[in-house]
Amino acid sequence: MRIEHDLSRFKQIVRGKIRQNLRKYVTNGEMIGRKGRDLVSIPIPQLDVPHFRYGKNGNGGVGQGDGEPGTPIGKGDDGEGGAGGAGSDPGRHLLEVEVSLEELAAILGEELELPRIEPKGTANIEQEKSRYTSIRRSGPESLRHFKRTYMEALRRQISSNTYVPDRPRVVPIREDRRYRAWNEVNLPEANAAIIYMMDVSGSMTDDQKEIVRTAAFWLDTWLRSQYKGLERRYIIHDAAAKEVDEETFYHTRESGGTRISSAYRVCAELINRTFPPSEWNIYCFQFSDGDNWGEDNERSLDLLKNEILPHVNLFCYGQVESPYGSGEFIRSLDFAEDEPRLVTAEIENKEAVYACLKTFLGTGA
Amino acid sequence: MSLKQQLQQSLAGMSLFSSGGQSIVLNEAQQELTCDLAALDTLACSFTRLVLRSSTLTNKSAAELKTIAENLSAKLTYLLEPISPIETDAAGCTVQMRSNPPQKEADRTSYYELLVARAGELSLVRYSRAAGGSREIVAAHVTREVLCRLAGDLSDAAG
Repeated sequence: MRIEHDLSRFKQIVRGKIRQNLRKYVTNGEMIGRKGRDLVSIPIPQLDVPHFRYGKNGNGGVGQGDGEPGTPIGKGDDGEGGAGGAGSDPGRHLLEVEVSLEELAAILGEELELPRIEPKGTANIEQEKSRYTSIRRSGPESLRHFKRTYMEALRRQISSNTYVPDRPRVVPIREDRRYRAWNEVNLPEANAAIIYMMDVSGSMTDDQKEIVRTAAFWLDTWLRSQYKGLERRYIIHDAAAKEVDEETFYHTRESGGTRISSAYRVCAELINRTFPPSEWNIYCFQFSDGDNWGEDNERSLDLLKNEILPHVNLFCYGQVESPYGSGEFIRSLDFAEDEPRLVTAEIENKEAVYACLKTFLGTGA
Repeated sequence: MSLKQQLQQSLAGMSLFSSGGQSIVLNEAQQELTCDLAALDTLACSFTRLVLRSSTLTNKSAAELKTIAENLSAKLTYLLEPISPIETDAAGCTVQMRSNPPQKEADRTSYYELLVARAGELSLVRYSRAAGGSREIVAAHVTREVLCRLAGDLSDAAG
């Protein structure tokens, strides 16, 4: 149908506009505030919609009056310009469109050229799902299959010679009614857990936490598109670590010192207790300014190498630059070059979030 | 004689130098002051580390050390940047103070770091970090008068 064609064309244009501005959306974090349950509302600038223009007729232009081939089109009457100059502010032609998170993830994946994630083989578990794959003679009216019902009625009328082709009236009776019915099927499903860890020590400022929030939103969006069952857990730490809810994760500020090992210990316990690695694809994302108290590096690396890395698909460490630029922890992770499950990125500012996502998710692990 | 007066005398008795570095170690009652000088001029000097060790700090709790840090923050208003407590490590009983905000130039960030530790130490160092590099200790330039005042304030803070 024409309207469906137009709608599909409109969606293509919207997608193109989002892709064009994706870097801006990723870096300024405005998308996060617009997140609904499954949809995100996105402002699209200057999407030109065709419209009629009203004005005086007979002022020249195509198809106005007599003319010979080669006659130039008239300019219209000369006249004084109106009062006032041109405006200096940009026009406000923002159109808000709603895009599903899944679609957004697809755009992100295409734009960043992200590989599809390959779940760990052993992590596939069978889950019972209901699928509407059969038809029954009884059922709730909400599940009535209209097409099948009318086909049954037609078949009955033809076989009983009550169907008149010149007056094709098909009236279903109770016996004609057909209803959708479900069957239980076992579907393989890959479960995934994301464990976010954030340093909330005194040296992490609100700006740095905003960067973490932005990065986490996009990581979430991408991983959700890859896994149906996605569990998220949040750990905050300064010198001590604890598991918290999402709200607390983003809005806590402590003044304690930085001991990364405390977060690793809680993370390792969480994996052991809740996410057996044989059943779960585990992703860890850690964000810190890397200003770890000197003697803690050794303990942290020991926990990371022995208690966490062997059990996860991917461990990403994002070092957000502090006002002091004093973070050194990333340098102690230089063994990442030989460890495919460990990825590190330095995030200097909001603009660097885009590159960080590419680094973290580009492995396809 | 107080540590401040001893330092004034020591500086007055030293010959001027611009390279090589020299250390001054002074004692008074339960306190020991160590100053690693990088250069000494008639008016000014530069130091890489100023450490005050005091046995009176060893039994302090994290909260008490934080109070000492806050008092120091209020006193040390004459350096290049104001210094304030950034992190308190309750387990290690150390308060980390830093320039707040640090000094930012186009390609370099510099700041003071003053650690107040229960191990019995107040240590002041100036760090600098070029963009993309690691932080390194740099010499802090002060007048002789400021260095002596600093020694006096650290000594008073440690009690």
